[in-house]
Order: sequence, then C-alpha cells, then structure tokens
Amino acid sequence: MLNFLLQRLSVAVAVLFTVALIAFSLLHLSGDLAAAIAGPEATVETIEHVRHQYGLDRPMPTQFFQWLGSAVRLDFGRSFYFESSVRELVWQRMPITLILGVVSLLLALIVAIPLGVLAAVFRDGVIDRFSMFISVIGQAMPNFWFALVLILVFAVELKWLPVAGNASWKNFVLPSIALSYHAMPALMRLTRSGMLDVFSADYIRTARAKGLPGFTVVVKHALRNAIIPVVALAAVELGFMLGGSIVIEAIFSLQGLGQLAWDSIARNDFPVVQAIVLIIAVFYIALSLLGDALSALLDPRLRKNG
Amino acid sequence: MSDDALLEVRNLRVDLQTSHGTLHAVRGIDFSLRHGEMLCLVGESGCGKSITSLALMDLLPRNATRCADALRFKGVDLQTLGERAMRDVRGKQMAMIFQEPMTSLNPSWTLGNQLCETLRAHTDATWAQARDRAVWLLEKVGIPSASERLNQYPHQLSGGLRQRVMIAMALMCGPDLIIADEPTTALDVTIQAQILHLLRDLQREFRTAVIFITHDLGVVARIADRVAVMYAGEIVETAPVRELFERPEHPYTRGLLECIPVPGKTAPGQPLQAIPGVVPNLVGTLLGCAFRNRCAYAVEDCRKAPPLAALGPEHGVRCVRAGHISNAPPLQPDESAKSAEFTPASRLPAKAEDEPALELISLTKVFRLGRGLFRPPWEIRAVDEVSLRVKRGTSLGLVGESGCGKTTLARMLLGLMPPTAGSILIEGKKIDTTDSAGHRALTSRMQPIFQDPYSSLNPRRTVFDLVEVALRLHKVGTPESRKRDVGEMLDRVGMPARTHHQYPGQLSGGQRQRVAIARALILRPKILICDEPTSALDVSVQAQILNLLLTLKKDLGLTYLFISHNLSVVEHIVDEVAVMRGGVIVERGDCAQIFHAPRHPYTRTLLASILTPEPGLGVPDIAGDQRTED
Repeated sequence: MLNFLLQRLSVAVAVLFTVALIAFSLLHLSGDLAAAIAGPEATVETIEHVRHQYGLDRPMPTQFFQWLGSAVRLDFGRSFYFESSVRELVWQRMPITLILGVVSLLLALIVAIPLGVLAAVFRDGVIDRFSMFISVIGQAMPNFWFALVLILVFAVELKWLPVAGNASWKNFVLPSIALSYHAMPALMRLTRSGMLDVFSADYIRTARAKGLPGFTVVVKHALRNAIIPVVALAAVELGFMLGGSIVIEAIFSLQGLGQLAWDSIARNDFPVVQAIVLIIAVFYIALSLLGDALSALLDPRLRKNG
Repeated sequence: MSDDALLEVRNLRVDLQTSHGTLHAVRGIDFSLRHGEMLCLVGESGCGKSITSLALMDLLPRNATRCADALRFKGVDLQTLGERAMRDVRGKQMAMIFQEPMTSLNPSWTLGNQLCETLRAHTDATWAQARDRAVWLLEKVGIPSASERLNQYPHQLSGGLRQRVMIAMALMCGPDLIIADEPTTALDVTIQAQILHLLRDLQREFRTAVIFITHDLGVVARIADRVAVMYAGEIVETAPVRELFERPEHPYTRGLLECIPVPGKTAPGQPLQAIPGVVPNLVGTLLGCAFRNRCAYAVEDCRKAPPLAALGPEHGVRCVRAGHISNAPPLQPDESAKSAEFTPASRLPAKAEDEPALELISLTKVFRLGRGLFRPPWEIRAVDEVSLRVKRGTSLGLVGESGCGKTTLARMLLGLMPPTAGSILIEGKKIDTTDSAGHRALTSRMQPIFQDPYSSLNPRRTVFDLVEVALRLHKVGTPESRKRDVGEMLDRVGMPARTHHQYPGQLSGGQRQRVAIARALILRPKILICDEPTSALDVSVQAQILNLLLTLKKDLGLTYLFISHNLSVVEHIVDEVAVMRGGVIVERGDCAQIFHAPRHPYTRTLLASILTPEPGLGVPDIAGDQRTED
C-alpha cells in the first residue's frame, strides 16, 4: 500500500512539474508580456522599464525556476491589476469554489448511485428508462444553459431562491444543482454498468445460492465491488468541477476562483492566471491520487501489491 | 417413491428463450435422491446438467422458465415456495459448490465474513458462534491455521484452497443436500484428487446427500453411488455406479465409456471408438430419440420417443433396444480413422531415425518482474535450461500442472516470445526466432494447434480463407493450386465440402479444431506443437480429434510435441514423455517406462491422480504438498 502510494506520488510530482512548465510557457507564448502590462499607450522606454522591473529580461529558464521556486513556497507574486499579493486573492476566493465543488459532487453522488443501482436491479424497467432519459439530457445540455433555466424558474418566476451573489447558503443551491447535473450522468451510468457487470459474476451467484436476502446481495456483494471505479471517477469529476466552475460562477456571480480566473484572463493579469492554473492542477492531481488510494482501500487485491 | 427420498424430481422441464427460438434445455427428467446419497449427473456440454441444478435452486437466468410435475424436497414441493421461503431453503438446506473457485468468492470481503454471513442469514447465531463454526469447518476441510485464514481475502489463497473454502461454506448450515457443479474441473489433477477425497469423506461424515455434476467419467466411477447419464436435456440412463460401468445399456453411455483412452486398457496409438456427429440442436421440438442420428444401433422404432425401460430395481434406460446393448459386439472405429492402417504392436515407425526433428538446448526463459521505483527487481525462471530432443516421426508428450512452464516453452518454440538463453534447432539447423527470415523458416516447418478452437480462429473468415491465408502469406503456388491444396487438406481432416464456406461460428467445437489442424498443416510443416488440443472438447469429440492426429502423424510422417495435463490422453498418443515441474524437466523417458516404472516422486504423484473409470477403486489419497497450495 505504501509502495503503491509512493509510486503514484512520484508520478504526480512529475506531472505537476510538466503542468507548471506548460502554464509558464503558454503565457510567454501569448505575446510580449511587458507590453501587455505596460498597456497600449506605453512608450518603448516604459515597456523596457516594465520588462526590467518584472524580471522579464532574464533568460527563460531562470525566470521559470524563480517563478516555480516561489510558487512552491506559495508565493505567486503580485497581481498586476489588484496590486496585491496573489496568494491572498486566491486564499479569499478558494473556499467558495471548494464548497461549490464538494456540495455539487455530493449531490451528484447522492442521486447517481441509488439511481444507478435501481436501474441495474430493475433493468429495462421504468426506473432504468427514466434514469437513462435524465442522463441523456444531462450529458447533452450545456450546463450554462441549464443554469439559466434554473435561474429563470426558481429565482425569477417562483422567487424561491436568490439569483446571484454569495451572501448565504441559499446562493449555493442553484449553482450546485447546475454543476452537479453535469457530473451525474457519467457517475450514474458507470454505477449501472458496473452493477450489471457484477451481477453476472460468479460470486453473486454464490451469494444468492447461500440464500442471502436480496438487499444484502445487491448492496454488500454487488455494490461494494461495482463502486470501486465510481469512486475513482468521482475524484476526477471533482477536479473537473473545480476547473469547470468558471462558467457557473460567472453566471451566478459567485466570487470564487473561477470568477477570478475569468476576470484575470480578461485583464491580462498573468500572475493570477498562472497561480490558478497551478492550483487547479494540484487539486486535480491530488484528487486522482485520492481516487487511487480510495480504490486501493476498497479493493483488497490492490492493497497488497501494486 | 419410498419415504426416505430426500429429493424427488418428476418431469422437470426448463426452457430458455433465445434469439433463435425456445431452447428446451431440460426435457422432462425424473430422478430421486436418498438421504446421504451421492448421485452423479454426467454428460457432455450443453446436455442440461448445470441448468438442472440451477432449476432446483431456483437460480435460473432471467430468460429461463422451469416447470415440473413435482419438485419435492423433504416433502415440500419447491414450486409452491415463494422467494422468501425459497431463500430459507437455499444455503440452509440445499447448498451449492461451483466450478470456478477463482471467481466464486467475493474479492472484497474476508473469508470469515463470507463464511459467517451464511449462518447469520439463516439462524440467530452471533458472530462469535459463526466464527467458531467457520474455524471448525475450515479445519475439517483441511485448511491449516484456520483462524488466521478468516481474516484473509480470497486472492491470497490458491485455487485448491478456495475450493476447500467453498466446501466449508456449503457446510456452514449443515445442509441436507449439496449440489456440486463440476467442482474439480478447473483444478490440477493432484488437487482434484485431494478435493474429491475430501468431498467423499465429508459426505459420509455429515451424511449429506450430494448431486455431483461432471463430464468426467473417471470422477464418476470413483465417487458416485448412483449415476444419471444426461444427453440433450434428458436422462438416458440411470443406474448404480458399478452396474452402469459394467453393464451400460444405452448406446450413448457405452459410447462415452469407449471413447476415452484408459491407460492399461486401450491400446496406445490405436484408434478410439469416437461417437460420430454432434449433439442435436435443442431449439424447437425434437421427435423420437435424440441420440438416434449418432447411434450405431438405431432402428426404425427410434423415430418414436423411447420410454424409460426398467432393467432392474434401480437401472432405467431410455432406449428401445435396452437390454441388447451391453452384450453387442464392439463397433468398428469411426470414419476419420479409416484412412490409415495402424501398425499393431510397434509404436515407433519402422525406420525410427535418430536424427532429431526438433532439439532444444538449455532453453531458458526468465521473467523479470517488479522493476518498480521503490522495489528491487525479482525474477521468475519460468523455463529453466530445458534440453529436449524429439526424433523425426515420433511424438513427445510434455506433461505438468498449471504454472510448470509448459505454455511458456511452447510460446518460445513458436517464436511468440524470445528465449532468455538457449537455442532451438529444427532438423539440425539453429533457428533465430527474432529476425523475420528466421521466423518465416520456423513457421514453414513448425505449426501450432491451440487449446481453444473457439477463440483461436478469426470469426470473420470462412473456413477456406482461414486455411488459405497461410499459403498466401508465404507466397506458395497460384490461386488455382492453392484452391486445390486447401480443398485436399480440408478433406483430409474430415471437413465436408459444404462446410468450406462457412464461418467458425457455424461450426461445432470439433469441426473448429479440425480447421485449426488443416490450417496448421497447409504449409506442410514437419512438426506440430499441440498445446492442449483436446482439453476444450467433449470426450466424444476428443476421440475424433485424437484419431485424426494419430492418422495424420502416420500418413504425413509428422513429429508432435504434445503438451497436455491429461495423462490418459498423453499415454494414448505419444512415444516419449517429459514431465515438467517448476520450469525444469524432472523426468523423461519412453512412454511405457514413465507410465509403468516412474522414477521421480512427482511423476508417481501425477500418475496416482489419474482417475480411470473403474468403480470401486475410490479416490486415491494424494498427500497434498500444502506449500504448493498456498
């Protein structure tokens, strides 16, 4: 188990380094940063001054390792726009995105797993068809459009919930639903197909031949094995949600990381964009690791050797 | 039926809805079982024996329906029980052991949990009580340090140990009946003997009735009290074990008994008494005797459904000619063996040249594993300096249990895997399998026949294409000459012309293996590597293929390397034997010498575990080397 995690960890570090390198180079490929910072009206001298001030005249590898060195110490430099520490900016916004992501994932799982199990148990029945219908819509419909429909129905017409902002828990309800509906179909379909796979396994026949109650067979013997890939997918989905919340946060004016990234891209605020890309990548990798670890914890065969 | 019947089945029928129509898998069978009796249901694949067992447990697949005049178990008709009441029967009064010990236990729960839950579901035993019983039973089934095993997961145990756990699990609630569906088929021969021994002992000790389902007549002879032979969804003959083996009255029973090679009984190298043809399709209605198209004794009356004739208090036969079969003279060998004249006594061809057709010199394969970031590499010597010579025109049998390295050896020979060290010589010339010219030279002289004809033929090519493609790849002949050659070869292996444009999916297992043989022979190789060529086939078909291989060897002067775990088959077909264990050849010699005067203790153990179909001998007591089982 320890070996298994150490291996994955070393791979994760390598992946992270690559992401950092790409994030760094992409920004430098997007044009002359010094000119962008100095603004459209700036003279050549001003631009050169900015270039020197920000250290942009140093060799690329030096710049990269300096940036990476401080990023490791959680120092992402100063925002061009806010003129304040990027770390603090990110720190303020992070909880909102995290809450949104985690709540959405839990919501998706609460719906997806029971629905997937029932769909598999009553294969080709009403529940199966209903859940298939729901999930096809969920996968086909863009989530920004679904978010707008939610706002229109529950906030504008029914006035049950606020339209935008992040004042209370009520503000999180609609964004969470919108975000979770995008992850739910994949989780549900995976649960369903996993359950159907497991139902034809020999050990399920054994469990039935032992005269165990149906619920025990389905939950203890089938779901326990079918859920392993679902857990791994859920971890990855959470990563998607943290990265993909940009659109949802923009629609609901939630002041999260996504919104910050969106604004910073528009403002050419590169230190912030770099920091957010790196942070999302760290989350993503950490979640994949977590998924692997959870799978290993659930599957005794992975626990021993890996 | 007498009052002491534990189970009474009257006119049980099971229908399966398939895309081709209704398949009558079980077509009205009757049998009964006494307390503490061991009944063997024997038959070839598709005869309905497993479906019968699932019907008893009410565990049939979704597309199946069962109906019966009576399905009385301990005086209660199981058909009247609802799902909840049936659940009380399952596991508590009627338990089941399945064929695949590797997949029949849940990988995610400990053995203790899986053992105890059975008892907990049916009684109000506490976990502690259930644990005590589990430990006691695990000791009974011969699992050392039982209480520690409870915390282990299935993957930590070998196949043999898992099957012991399955047996213990079946016994948890002290059932009156255990249904064992091919419980030893997936196991090595020595382990099979151990498990059968155990099952027989426990059955006597606990006075449990057992329905034992198998296709292996050797197993039947050694453990059954009574036997029911199934064919095409019917019980065609039922009798006490001794009577069935000594006086088989159904032509099918007799055919089954005569088509298996038995060391010491059938003359090695002689054609076997194969049953011609294949099992009829069970979709739609079958009129008359289902066996009549394959039966040498069939008469006009066989067009009518035969009644069950009683030949004694316990001997029933579903055949109009019952009473005349066991005394009838033996039949002539089947058609596929006719083309060759067999030399009666001498097993080696007249001019046994000493020059080897195939020679292996210190062939070695080492697998290096686990070159992980934080793990020291370790290695497995799968094949360890194996040197063998196979003389031209003879056959060498390579025997051993799973994991002994015989398949790795075959893969190296076929150029599918580079050897770590050592060399392969074909007719004195060294073959380098790594370059393409060497590989081409190799494939034109040596060809494989694999175990599973169901997966080793491309399903999207016709029989003709499958055989012709090798000629095209090697640029042999013109289209016309290829057509002629392929036609001749298919005739030779007994594939009628109408099958030449069929796809593998339309063929039976035996036919597929014939195509595989034709494909192997079309390049006129001198050597065939046969890797378990008959172990996926039913015994009646196995006899056809063995006869064909013997004929071809003689007619074409072929050299065989025959890899198998079935010692009876090996004894029948080869001239020399090499016994492999742990990557090394532990003993090799003339076939007769190995079988009659084995020197190595492992060879003796292997030979002792052969179950010849001789009732009354019982199951040999093979002292298990527990460490190899862990």
